[in-house]
Amino acid sequence: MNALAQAWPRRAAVRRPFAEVARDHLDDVYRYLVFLTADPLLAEDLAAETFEKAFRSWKRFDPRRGGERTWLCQVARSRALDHFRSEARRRKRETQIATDPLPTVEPIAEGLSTELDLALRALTAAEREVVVLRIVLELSAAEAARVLGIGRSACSMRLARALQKLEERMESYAVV
Amino acid sequence: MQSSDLMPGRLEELIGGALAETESEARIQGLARELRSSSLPPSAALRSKVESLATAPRRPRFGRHVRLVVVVAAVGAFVAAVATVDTTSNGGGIAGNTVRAGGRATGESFTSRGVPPAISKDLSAGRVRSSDPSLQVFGPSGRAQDVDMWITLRVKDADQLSESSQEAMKITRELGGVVGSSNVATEGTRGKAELRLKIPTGRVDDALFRLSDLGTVTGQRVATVDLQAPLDRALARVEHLQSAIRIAKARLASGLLSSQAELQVRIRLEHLRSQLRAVTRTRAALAREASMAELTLTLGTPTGAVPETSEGGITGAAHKAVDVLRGAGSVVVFLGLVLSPLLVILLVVWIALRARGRRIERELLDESRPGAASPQRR
Repeated sequence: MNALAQAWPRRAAVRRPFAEVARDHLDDVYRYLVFLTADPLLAEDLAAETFEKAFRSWKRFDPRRGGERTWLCQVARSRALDHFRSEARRRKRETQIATDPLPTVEPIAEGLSTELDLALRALTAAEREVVVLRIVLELSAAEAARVLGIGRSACSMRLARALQKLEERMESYAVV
Repeated sequence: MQSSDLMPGRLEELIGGALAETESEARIQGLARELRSSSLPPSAALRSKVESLATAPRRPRFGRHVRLVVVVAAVGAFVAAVATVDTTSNGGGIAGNTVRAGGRATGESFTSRGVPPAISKDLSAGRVRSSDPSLQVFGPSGRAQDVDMWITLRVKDADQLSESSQEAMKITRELGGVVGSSNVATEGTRGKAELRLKIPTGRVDDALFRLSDLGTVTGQRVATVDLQAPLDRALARVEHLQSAIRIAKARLASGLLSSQAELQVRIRLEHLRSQLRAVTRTRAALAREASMAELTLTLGTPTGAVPETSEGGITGAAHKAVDVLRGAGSVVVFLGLVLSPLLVILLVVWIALRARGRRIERELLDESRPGAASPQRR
Protein backbone atom coordinates (compact mmCIF):
# COMPACT_ATOMS: atom_id res chain seq x y z
CA MET A 1 0.00 0.00 0.00
CA ASN A 2 2.83 2.33 0.91
CA ALA A 3 4.70 1.40 -2.27
CA LEU A 4 1.57 2.05 -4.26
CA ALA A 5 1.04 5.39 -2.56
CA GLN A 6 4.63 6.33 -3.26
CA ALA A 7 4.47 5.24 -6.88
CA TRP A 8 1.21 7.08 -7.48
CA PRO A 9 1.81 10.73 -8.31
CA ARG A 10 0.44 13.25 -5.90
CA ARG A 11 -2.73 14.80 -7.19
CA ALA A 12 -2.26 18.20 -5.70
CA ALA A 13 0.85 19.56 -4.08
CA VAL A 14 0.62 22.10 -1.30
CA ARG A 15 1.28 25.68 -2.35
CA ARG A 16 2.63 27.95 0.35
CA PRO A 17 1.50 31.55 0.84
CA PHE A 18 3.37 33.87 -1.52
CA ALA A 19 4.59 36.06 1.35
CA GLU A 20 6.54 33.13 2.80
CA VAL A 21 7.96 32.19 -0.58
CA ALA A 22 9.06 35.76 -1.26
CA ARG A 23 10.72 36.02 2.12
CA ASP A 24 12.57 32.72 1.70
CA HIS A 25 13.82 33.23 -1.85
CA LEU A 26 14.34 36.97 -2.23
CA ASP A 27 18.06 36.69 -1.56
CA ASP A 28 18.55 33.88 -4.08
CA VAL A 29 16.60 35.60 -6.82
CA TYR A 30 18.48 38.82 -6.23
CA ARG A 31 21.83 37.03 -6.34
CA TYR A 32 20.88 35.29 -9.54
CA LEU A 33 19.96 38.60 -11.14
CA VAL A 34 23.11 40.32 -9.93
CA PHE A 35 25.29 37.66 -11.49
CA LEU A 36 23.22 37.57 -14.65
CA THR A 37 23.31 41.31 -15.22
CA ALA A 38 26.56 42.08 -13.40
CA ASP A 39 24.79 45.15 -12.13
CA PRO A 40 23.42 45.26 -8.57
CA LEU A 41 21.20 48.28 -9.20
CA LEU A 42 19.65 46.80 -12.31
CA ALA A 43 19.24 43.54 -10.42
CA GLU A 44 17.22 45.37 -7.75
CA ASP A 45 14.85 46.73 -10.35
CA LEU A 46 14.49 43.38 -12.03
CA ALA A 47 14.01 41.60 -8.71
CA ALA A 48 11.16 43.93 -7.82
CA GLU A 49 9.59 43.33 -11.23
CA THR A 50 10.13 39.62 -10.87
CA PHE A 51 8.28 39.37 -7.57
CA GLU A 52 5.50 41.59 -8.86
CA LYS A 53 4.99 39.30 -11.83
CA ALA A 54 5.35 36.20 -9.69
CA PHE A 55 2.73 37.51 -7.28
CA ARG A 56 0.29 38.06 -10.15
CA SER A 57 0.83 34.60 -11.58
CA TRP A 58 1.27 32.70 -8.31
CA LYS A 59 -1.91 30.74 -9.01
CA ARG A 60 -0.29 29.26 -12.08
CA PHE A 61 2.65 27.89 -10.15
CA ASP A 62 2.54 24.11 -10.11
CA PRO A 63 4.73 22.63 -7.34
CA ARG A 64 4.76 19.26 -9.14
CA ARG A 65 6.70 20.72 -12.06
CA GLY A 66 9.52 22.20 -10.03
CA GLY A 67 10.50 23.97 -6.87
CA GLU A 68 9.55 27.49 -5.89
CA ARG A 69 13.09 28.75 -6.35
CA THR A 70 13.36 27.24 -9.82
CA TRP A 71 10.07 28.86 -10.82
CA LEU A 72 11.12 32.24 -9.43
CA CYS A 73 14.43 32.02 -11.29
CA GLN A 74 12.54 31.29 -14.49
CA VAL A 75 10.40 34.37 -13.94
CA ALA A 76 13.48 36.43 -13.15
CA ARG A 77 15.23 35.19 -16.26
CA SER A 78 12.23 36.12 -18.38
CA ARG A 79 12.26 39.63 -16.92
CA ALA A 80 15.98 39.95 -17.50
CA LEU A 81 15.67 38.82 -21.10
CA ASP A 82 12.91 41.36 -21.66
CA HIS A 83 15.21 44.01 -20.26
CA PHE A 84 18.10 42.88 -22.46
CA ARG A 85 15.86 43.00 -25.50
CA SER A 86 14.63 46.51 -24.82
CA GLU A 87 18.19 47.57 -23.98
CA ALA A 88 19.47 46.14 -27.25
CA ARG A 89 16.80 48.04 -29.17
CA ARG A 90 17.62 51.23 -27.29
CA ARG A 91 21.32 50.91 -27.95
CA LYS A 92 20.75 50.18 -31.60
CA ARG A 93 18.63 53.32 -31.83
CA GLU A 94 21.09 55.51 -30.03
CA THR A 95 24.32 54.14 -31.49
CA GLN A 96 24.18 56.49 -34.43
CA ILE A 97 23.94 59.68 -32.36
CA ALA A 98 25.84 58.92 -29.21
CA THR A 99 27.99 56.37 -27.51
CA ASP A 100 27.07 54.66 -24.32
CA PRO A 101 28.54 56.20 -21.20
CA LEU A 102 31.35 54.22 -19.66
CA PRO A 103 29.92 51.59 -17.41
CA THR A 104 30.30 52.16 -13.72
CA VAL A 105 32.72 49.74 -12.15
CA GLU A 106 30.89 48.57 -9.11
CA PRO A 107 31.73 45.20 -7.54
CA ILE A 108 29.25 42.51 -8.36
CA ALA A 109 29.27 41.28 -4.82
CA GLU A 110 31.04 41.98 -1.59
CA GLY A 111 33.68 39.45 -0.61
CA LEU A 112 34.85 38.66 -4.12
CA SER A 113 38.50 39.20 -5.02
CA THR A 114 39.19 41.80 -7.67
CA GLU A 115 40.43 39.10 -10.05
CA LEU A 116 37.28 37.06 -9.67
CA ASP A 117 35.09 40.15 -10.02
CA LEU A 118 36.87 41.15 -13.24
CA ALA A 119 36.82 37.60 -14.51
CA LEU A 120 33.09 37.36 -13.88
CA ARG A 121 32.55 40.58 -15.82
CA ALA A 122 34.48 39.11 -18.71
CA LEU A 123 32.02 36.22 -18.98
CA THR A 124 28.89 36.46 -21.02
CA ALA A 125 25.55 36.67 -19.28
CA ALA A 126 24.83 33.10 -20.34
CA GLU A 127 28.03 31.91 -18.67
CA ARG A 128 27.49 33.94 -15.55
CA GLU A 129 23.95 32.65 -15.11
CA VAL A 130 24.99 29.00 -15.27
CA VAL A 131 27.71 29.72 -12.70
CA VAL A 132 25.32 31.43 -10.33
CA LEU A 133 22.67 28.77 -10.69
CA ARG A 134 24.98 25.81 -10.20
CA ILE A 135 27.66 27.22 -7.90
CA VAL A 136 26.14 30.09 -5.93
CA LEU A 137 22.52 28.97 -5.64
CA GLU A 138 23.55 25.30 -5.70
CA LEU A 139 20.68 24.21 -7.90
CA SER A 140 20.86 20.67 -9.18
CA ALA A 141 21.71 20.08 -12.82
CA ALA A 142 18.08 19.29 -13.59
CA GLU A 143 16.81 22.44 -11.89
CA ALA A 144 19.36 24.66 -13.59
CA ALA A 145 18.60 23.08 -16.95
CA ARG A 146 14.91 23.77 -16.39
CA VAL A 147 15.59 27.43 -15.64
CA LEU A 148 17.82 27.79 -18.69
CA GLY A 149 15.48 25.85 -20.94
CA ILE A 150 18.18 23.48 -22.13
CA GLY A 151 19.12 19.88 -21.54
CA ARG A 152 21.18 18.65 -18.58
CA SER A 153 24.23 17.78 -20.65
CA ALA A 154 24.17 21.16 -22.36
CA CYS A 155 23.94 22.76 -18.95
CA SER A 156 26.95 20.81 -17.71
CA MET A 157 28.94 21.69 -20.81
CA ARG A 158 28.09 25.34 -20.43
CA LEU A 159 29.17 25.27 -16.81
CA ALA A 160 32.48 23.59 -17.68
CA ARG A 161 33.18 26.19 -20.36
CA ALA A 162 32.30 29.02 -18.01
CA LEU A 163 34.56 27.71 -15.31
CA GLN A 164 37.42 27.23 -17.76
CA LYS A 165 36.99 30.79 -18.96
CA LEU A 166 36.83 32.01 -15.40
CA GLU A 167 40.06 30.20 -14.54
CA GLU A 168 41.83 31.56 -17.59
CA ARG A 169 40.74 35.12 -16.88
CA MET A 170 41.73 34.89 -13.27
CA GLU A 171 45.15 33.57 -14.22
CA SER A 172 45.69 36.37 -16.70
CA TYR A 173 44.60 39.01 -14.17
CA ALA A 174 46.85 37.47 -11.51
CA VAL A 175 49.85 37.64 -13.90
CA VAL A 176 49.12 41.30 -14.60
CA MET B 1 44.00 19.99 -16.75
CA GLN B 2 41.32 22.60 -17.40
CA SER B 3 37.85 22.40 -15.93
CA SER B 4 36.37 21.80 -19.38
CA ASP B 5 38.42 18.61 -19.54
CA LEU B 6 36.61 17.25 -16.50
CA MET B 7 33.92 14.69 -17.05
CA PRO B 8 30.49 16.08 -16.21
CA GLY B 9 30.09 13.52 -13.48
CA ARG B 10 33.37 14.53 -11.84
CA LEU B 11 32.44 18.19 -12.10
CA GLU B 12 29.17 17.44 -10.34
CA GLU B 13 31.06 15.65 -7.59
CA LEU B 14 33.44 18.56 -7.12
CA ILE B 15 30.55 21.01 -6.94
CA GLY B 16 28.92 18.71 -4.44
CA GLY B 17 32.01 18.87 -2.21
CA ALA B 18 34.09 15.85 -3.23
CA LEU B 19 37.78 15.88 -2.31
CA ALA B 20 39.93 17.50 -5.02
CA GLU B 21 42.58 15.22 -6.49
CA THR B 22 44.34 17.60 -8.83
CA GLU B 23 45.42 21.20 -8.74
CA SER B 24 42.76 22.12 -11.29
CA GLU B 25 40.05 20.50 -9.25
CA ALA B 26 41.31 22.35 -6.20
CA ARG B 27 41.13 25.63 -8.12
CA ILE B 28 37.56 24.90 -9.13
CA GLN B 29 36.61 24.20 -5.56
CA GLY B 30 38.34 27.36 -4.47
CA LEU B 31 36.38 29.34 -7.01
CA ALA B 32 33.14 27.78 -5.86
CA ARG B 33 33.93 28.57 -2.22
CA GLU B 34 34.74 32.17 -3.01
CA LEU B 35 31.62 32.61 -5.10
CA ARG B 36 29.44 31.08 -2.41
CA SER B 37 30.97 33.21 0.29
CA SER B 38 30.18 36.40 -1.57
CA SER B 39 27.70 38.60 0.21
CA LEU B 40 24.84 39.89 -1.85
CA PRO B 41 22.09 41.14 0.39
CA PRO B 42 19.27 42.95 -1.34
CA SER B 43 18.67 46.47 -0.16
CA ALA B 44 16.19 47.18 2.59
CA ALA B 45 14.06 49.09 0.10
CA LEU B 46 13.75 46.07 -2.16
CA ARG B 47 13.02 43.81 0.77
CA SER B 48 10.27 46.04 2.11
CA LYS B 49 8.86 46.49 -1.40
CA VAL B 50 8.63 42.76 -1.99
CA GLU B 51 7.19 42.12 1.45
CA SER B 52 4.51 44.78 1.00
CA LEU B 53 3.75 43.35 -2.43
CA ALA B 54 3.36 39.85 -1.07
CA THR B 55 1.01 40.92 1.70
CA ALA B 56 -1.11 43.23 -0.45
CA PRO B 57 -4.66 42.06 -1.17
CA ARG B 58 -4.91 40.37 -4.51
CA ARG B 59 -6.78 42.44 -7.02
CA PRO B 60 -9.21 40.43 -9.10
CA ARG B 61 -8.35 40.32 -12.76
CA PHE B 62 -11.92 41.15 -13.80
CA GLY B 63 -14.28 43.62 -12.21
CA ARG B 64 -17.55 42.73 -10.51
CA HIS B 65 -19.66 43.83 -13.45
CA VAL B 66 -17.63 41.84 -15.93
CA ARG B 67 -17.91 38.74 -13.79
CA LEU B 68 -21.67 39.26 -13.45
CA VAL B 69 -22.08 39.58 -17.22
CA VAL B 70 -19.99 36.44 -17.77
CA VAL B 71 -22.07 34.46 -15.25
CA VAL B 72 -25.35 35.62 -16.81
CA ALA B 73 -24.09 34.82 -20.31
CA ALA B 74 -22.92 31.39 -19.18
CA VAL B 75 -26.29 30.61 -17.58
CA GLY B 76 -28.09 31.82 -20.69
CA ALA B 77 -25.91 29.70 -22.94
CA PHE B 78 -26.50 26.69 -20.71
CA VAL B 79 -30.28 27.13 -20.78
CA ALA B 80 -30.24 27.58 -24.55
CA ALA B 81 -28.11 24.47 -24.95
CA VAL B 82 -30.43 22.43 -22.72
CA ALA B 83 -33.48 23.66 -24.64
CA THR B 84 -31.84 22.81 -27.95
CA VAL B 85 -30.85 19.35 -26.82
CA ASP B 86 -34.33 18.72 -25.39
CA THR B 87 -36.02 19.83 -28.60
CA THR B 88 -33.72 17.66 -30.68
CA SER B 89 -34.11 14.59 -28.50
CA ASN B 90 -37.92 14.86 -28.51
CA GLY B 91 -38.00 14.76 -32.26
CA GLY B 92 -38.53 18.46 -32.46
CA GLY B 93 -41.33 19.01 -29.91
CA ILE B 94 -43.99 21.17 -31.53
CA ALA B 95 -41.73 21.66 -34.48
CA GLY B 96 -41.39 17.89 -34.66
CA ASN B 97 -45.15 17.46 -34.93
CA THR B 98 -45.12 19.99 -37.68
CA VAL B 99 -42.55 17.93 -39.53
CA ARG B 100 -44.57 14.82 -38.95
CA ALA B 101 -47.45 16.61 -40.58
CA GLY B 102 -45.43 17.33 -43.66
CA GLY B 103 -44.40 20.78 -42.45
CA ARG B 104 -47.71 22.49 -43.12
CA ALA B 105 -49.60 22.03 -39.90
CA THR B 106 -51.19 25.01 -38.28
CA GLY B 107 -54.36 23.74 -36.68
CA GLU B 108 -54.35 22.99 -33.00
CA SER B 109 -56.35 19.82 -33.45
CA PHE B 110 -53.70 18.49 -35.77
CA THR B 111 -50.65 19.52 -33.87
CA SER B 112 -52.04 18.09 -30.70
CA ARG B 113 -53.15 14.83 -32.20
CA GLY B 114 -50.86 14.24 -35.13
CA VAL B 115 -53.64 14.29 -37.75
CA PRO B 116 -52.93 15.96 -41.09
CA PRO B 117 -54.52 19.42 -41.26
CA ALA B 118 -56.64 18.99 -44.35
CA ILE B 119 -58.18 15.85 -42.96
CA SER B 120 -58.48 17.36 -39.54
CA LYS B 121 -60.40 20.25 -41.05
CA ASP B 122 -62.95 17.86 -42.44
CA LEU B 123 -63.09 15.98 -39.19
CA SER B 124 -63.50 19.08 -37.12
CA ALA B 125 -66.60 19.93 -39.15
CA GLY B 126 -68.23 17.00 -37.44
CA ARG B 127 -69.75 13.86 -38.76
CA VAL B 128 -73.35 13.92 -39.82
CA ARG B 129 -75.97 11.32 -40.53
CA SER B 130 -77.57 10.94 -43.90
CA SER B 131 -81.09 9.71 -44.50
CA ASP B 132 -79.82 6.23 -43.73
CA PRO B 133 -79.33 5.94 -39.98
CA SER B 134 -76.45 3.49 -40.47
CA LEU B 135 -74.59 5.82 -42.74
CA GLN B 136 -72.13 8.19 -41.21
CA VAL B 137 -70.54 10.62 -43.62
CA PHE B 138 -68.15 13.55 -43.72
CA GLY B 139 -68.96 16.99 -44.91
CA PRO B 140 -69.06 20.50 -43.63
CA SER B 141 -72.64 20.80 -44.82
CA GLY B 142 -73.64 17.45 -43.42
CA ARG B 143 -73.71 15.79 -46.81
CA ALA B 144 -72.74 12.25 -47.62
CA GLN B 145 -69.40 12.12 -49.32
CA ASP B 146 -67.05 9.60 -50.84
CA VAL B 147 -63.73 10.24 -49.10
CA ASP B 148 -60.42 9.03 -50.48
CA MET B 149 -57.26 9.74 -48.52
CA TRP B 150 -53.59 9.19 -49.25
CA ILE B 151 -51.05 9.34 -46.47
CA THR B 152 -47.30 8.87 -46.91
CA LEU B 153 -45.21 7.90 -43.93
CA ARG B 154 -41.47 7.66 -43.63
CA VAL B 155 -39.97 4.91 -41.48
CA LYS B 156 -36.40 4.25 -40.45
CA ASP B 157 -35.63 0.99 -42.19
CA ALA B 158 -37.02 -2.16 -43.72
CA ASP B 159 -37.65 -3.77 -40.35
CA GLN B 160 -39.78 -0.89 -39.19
CA LEU B 161 -41.48 -0.86 -42.56
CA SER B 162 -42.69 -4.42 -42.06
CA GLU B 163 -43.69 -3.76 -38.47
CA SER B 164 -45.59 -0.61 -39.39
CA SER B 165 -47.38 -2.36 -42.25
CA GLN B 166 -48.50 -5.14 -39.95
CA GLU B 167 -49.58 -2.64 -37.36
CA ALA B 168 -51.59 -0.64 -39.93
CA MET B 169 -53.51 -3.74 -40.98
CA LYS B 170 -54.12 -4.62 -37.37
CA ILE B 171 -55.44 -1.12 -36.64
CA THR B 172 -57.72 -1.32 -39.67
CA ARG B 173 -59.24 -4.57 -38.52
CA GLU B 174 -59.63 -3.36 -34.97
CA LEU B 175 -61.58 -0.37 -36.21
CA GLY B 176 -63.93 -2.54 -38.22
CA GLY B 177 -62.34 -1.82 -41.54
CA VAL B 178 -60.89 -4.07 -44.19
CA VAL B 179 -57.59 -4.25 -45.95
CA GLY B 180 -58.31 -3.90 -49.63
CA SER B 181 -54.80 -4.73 -50.73
CA SER B 182 -51.28 -4.65 -49.42
CA ASN B 183 -48.01 -4.53 -51.26
CA VAL B 184 -44.84 -4.62 -49.16
CA ALA B 185 -41.46 -4.75 -50.86
CA THR B 186 -38.06 -4.52 -49.16
CA GLU B 187 -34.55 -4.69 -50.48
CA GLY B 188 -31.72 -4.58 -48.00
CA THR B 189 -32.40 -1.73 -45.65
CA ARG B 190 -34.77 0.03 -48.00
CA GLY B 191 -38.34 -0.73 -48.84
CA LYS B 192 -41.77 0.52 -49.75
CA ALA B 193 -45.26 -0.56 -48.83
CA GLU B 194 -48.66 0.45 -50.14
CA LEU B 195 -51.80 -0.50 -48.27
CA ARG B 196 -55.32 0.20 -49.48
CA LEU B 197 -57.53 0.32 -46.44
CA LYS B 198 -61.24 0.80 -46.01
CA ILE B 199 -62.07 2.47 -42.77
CA PRO B 200 -65.60 2.99 -41.42
CA THR B 201 -66.44 6.64 -41.78
CA GLY B 202 -67.22 6.90 -38.13
CA ARG B 203 -63.76 5.59 -37.18
CA VAL B 204 -61.64 7.60 -39.58
CA ASP B 205 -60.72 10.00 -36.80
CA ASP B 206 -59.26 7.19 -34.70
CA ALA B 207 -57.61 5.56 -37.69
CA LEU B 208 -55.75 8.70 -38.70
CA PHE B 209 -54.63 9.28 -35.17
CA ARG B 210 -53.23 5.79 -34.79
CA LEU B 211 -51.76 5.43 -38.27
CA SER B 212 -49.92 8.73 -37.97
CA ASP B 213 -47.96 7.27 -35.09
CA LEU B 214 -46.44 4.55 -37.28
CA GLY B 215 -43.92 6.89 -38.85
CA THR B 216 -43.24 10.44 -39.89
CA VAL B 217 -45.95 11.94 -42.04
CA THR B 218 -44.30 13.29 -45.14
CA GLY B 219 -47.36 13.86 -47.31
CA GLN B 220 -51.10 13.62 -47.37
CA ARG B 221 -54.00 14.24 -49.78
CA VAL B 222 -57.75 14.11 -49.47
CA ALA B 223 -60.28 13.85 -52.29
CA THR B 224 -64.01 14.01 -51.69
CA VAL B 225 -66.95 13.38 -54.05
CA ASP B 226 -70.41 14.54 -53.05
CA LEU B 227 -72.84 11.59 -52.77
CA GLN B 228 -75.71 13.40 -51.12
CA ALA B 229 -77.47 14.39 -54.34
CA PRO B 230 -77.48 10.88 -55.85
CA LEU B 231 -78.62 9.53 -52.51
CA ASP B 232 -81.44 12.05 -52.33
CA ARG B 233 -82.48 11.28 -55.87
CA ALA B 234 -82.44 7.59 -55.15
CA LEU B 235 -84.53 8.09 -52.07
CA ALA B 236 -87.04 10.20 -53.95
CA ARG B 237 -87.18 7.59 -56.66
CA VAL B 238 -87.73 4.84 -54.12
CA GLU B 239 -90.56 6.77 -52.50
CA HIS B 240 -92.10 7.45 -55.91
CA LEU B 241 -91.86 3.82 -56.93
CA GLN B 242 -93.25 2.61 -53.63
CA SER B 243 -96.17 4.99 -54.03
CA ALA B 244 -96.80 3.81 -57.56
CA ILE B 245 -96.65 0.18 -56.39
CA ARG B 246 -99.17 0.90 -53.65
CA ILE B 247 -101.56 2.51 -56.21
CA ALA B 248 -101.19 -0.38 -58.60
CA LYS B 249 -101.88 -2.84 -55.81
CA ALA B 250 -105.00 -0.86 -54.82
CA ARG B 251 -106.33 -0.88 -58.38
CA LEU B 252 -105.87 -4.62 -58.59
CA ALA B 253 -107.56 -5.10 -55.28
CA SER B 254 -110.61 -3.04 -56.30
CA GLY B 255 -111.93 -5.74 -58.71
CA LEU B 256 -113.27 -3.08 -61.08
CA LEU B 257 -110.68 -3.62 -63.78
CA SER B 258 -111.36 -5.49 -66.91
CA SER B 259 -109.21 -8.47 -67.60
CA GLN B 260 -107.14 -6.55 -70.14
CA ALA B 261 -106.71 -3.55 -67.81
CA GLU B 262 -105.83 -5.88 -64.94
CA LEU B 263 -103.13 -7.45 -67.07
CA GLN B 264 -101.68 -4.04 -67.93
CA VAL B 265 -101.67 -3.07 -64.23
CA ARG B 266 -99.94 -6.29 -63.25
CA ILE B 267 -97.28 -5.73 -65.90
CA ARG B 268 -96.76 -2.18 -64.69
CA LEU B 269 -96.58 -3.39 -61.09
CA GLU B 270 -93.89 -5.84 -61.97
CA HIS B 271 -92.00 -3.15 -63.82
CA LEU B 272 -92.27 -0.84 -60.81
CA ARG B 273 -91.01 -3.55 -58.50
CA SER B 274 -88.08 -4.16 -60.80
CA GLN B 275 -87.23 -0.47 -60.84
CA LEU B 276 -87.54 -0.31 -57.08
CA ARG B 277 -85.08 -3.14 -56.67
CA ALA B 278 -82.59 -1.45 -58.99
CA VAL B 279 -82.89 1.91 -57.25
CA THR B 280 -82.60 0.25 -53.88
CA ARG B 281 -79.41 -1.47 -54.99
CA THR B 282 -77.98 1.80 -56.26
CA ARG B 283 -78.88 3.54 -53.06
CA ALA B 284 -77.34 0.76 -51.00
CA ALA B 285 -74.16 0.97 -53.06
CA LEU B 286 -73.98 4.73 -52.50
CA ALA B 287 -74.56 4.26 -48.82
CA ARG B 288 -71.80 1.66 -48.64
CA GLU B 289 -69.45 3.93 -50.48
CA ALA B 290 -70.17 6.78 -48.12
CA SER B 291 -69.95 4.58 -45.06
CA MET B 292 -66.38 3.51 -45.76
CA ALA B 293 -63.51 5.86 -46.42
CA GLU B 294 -60.76 4.60 -48.65
CA LEU B 295 -57.32 5.24 -47.29
CA THR B 296 -54.14 4.58 -49.24
CA LEU B 297 -51.25 4.33 -46.84
CA THR B 298 -47.77 4.48 -48.34
CA LEU B 299 -44.77 3.70 -46.19
CA GLY B 300 -41.21 4.17 -47.33
CA THR B 301 -37.68 4.23 -45.99
CA PRO B 302 -35.46 7.21 -46.65
CA THR B 303 -33.00 6.86 -49.49
CA GLY B 304 -29.70 5.39 -48.32
CA ALA B 305 -31.06 4.45 -44.93
CA VAL B 306 -28.59 2.74 -42.67
CA PRO B 307 -29.90 -0.32 -40.89
CA GLU B 308 -30.30 0.23 -37.23
CA THR B 309 -29.96 -2.69 -34.89
CA SER B 310 -33.03 -3.43 -32.93
CA GLU B 311 -31.37 -5.80 -30.52
CA GLY B 312 -31.81 -5.04 -26.91
CA GLY B 313 -29.51 -5.59 -23.98
CA ILE B 314 -25.77 -5.77 -24.27
CA THR B 315 -25.73 -6.64 -27.99
CA GLY B 316 -27.89 -3.67 -28.87
CA ALA B 317 -25.86 -1.36 -26.70
CA ALA B 318 -22.66 -2.66 -28.24
CA HIS B 319 -23.99 -2.11 -31.76
CA LYS B 320 -25.09 1.40 -30.86
CA ALA B 321 -21.71 2.11 -29.32
CA VAL B 322 -19.99 0.85 -32.47
CA ASP B 323 -22.24 3.05 -34.58
CA VAL B 324 -21.46 6.08 -32.42
CA LEU B 325 -17.74 5.33 -32.58
CA ARG B 326 -17.96 4.85 -36.34
CA GLY B 327 -19.64 8.23 -36.67
CA ALA B 328 -17.11 9.88 -34.40
CA GLY B 329 -14.30 8.20 -36.31
CA SER B 330 -15.62 9.55 -39.58
CA VAL B 331 -15.73 13.03 -38.13
CA VAL B 332 -12.19 12.67 -36.78
CA VAL B 333 -10.87 11.40 -40.12
CA PHE B 334 -12.61 14.22 -41.94
CA LEU B 335 -11.26 16.82 -39.56
CA GLY B 336 -7.84 15.23 -39.73
CA LEU B 337 -7.79 15.41 -43.50
CA VAL B 338 -8.99 19.00 -43.49
CA LEU B 339 -6.94 20.24 -40.58
CA SER B 340 -3.72 18.27 -40.95
CA PRO B 341 -2.13 20.65 -43.49
CA LEU B 342 -3.03 23.56 -41.24
CA LEU B 343 -1.61 21.75 -38.22
CA VAL B 344 1.62 21.00 -40.05
CA ILE B 345 1.95 24.66 -41.03
CA LEU B 346 1.25 25.74 -37.46
CA LEU B 347 3.81 23.24 -36.16
CA VAL B 348 6.46 24.49 -38.57
CA VAL B 349 5.70 28.11 -37.66
CA TRP B 350 5.85 27.24 -33.96
CA ILE B 351 9.20 25.46 -34.36
CA ALA B 352 10.58 28.34 -36.40
CA LEU B 353 9.41 30.93 -33.87
CA ARG B 354 10.85 28.87 -31.02
CA ALA B 355 14.19 28.51 -32.76
CA ARG B 356 14.24 32.23 -33.51
CA GLY B 357 13.42 33.03 -29.89
CA ARG B 358 16.22 30.76 -28.70
CA ARG B 359 18.67 32.31 -31.12
CA ILE B 360 17.77 35.84 -30.02
CA GLU B 361 17.97 34.78 -26.40
CA ARG B 362 21.40 33.25 -26.96
CA GLU B 363 22.62 36.35 -28.70
CA LEU B 364 21.36 38.53 -25.89
CA LEU B 365 22.96 36.41 -23.21
CA ASP B 366 26.21 35.81 -25.07
CA GLU B 367 26.92 39.50 -25.01
CA SER B 368 28.94 40.44 -22.00
CA ARG B 369 27.27 43.37 -20.30
CA PRO B 370 29.31 44.37 -17.31
CA GLY B 371 27.75 47.40 -15.74
CA ALA B 372 24.96 47.75 -18.30
CA ALA B 373 23.03 50.86 -17.45
CA SER B 374 19.91 50.26 -15.46
CA PRO B 375 16.75 52.26 -16.11
CA GLN B 376 17.18 54.17 -12.89
CA ARG B 377 20.71 55.22 -13.66
CA ARG B 378 19.87 56.38 -17.13
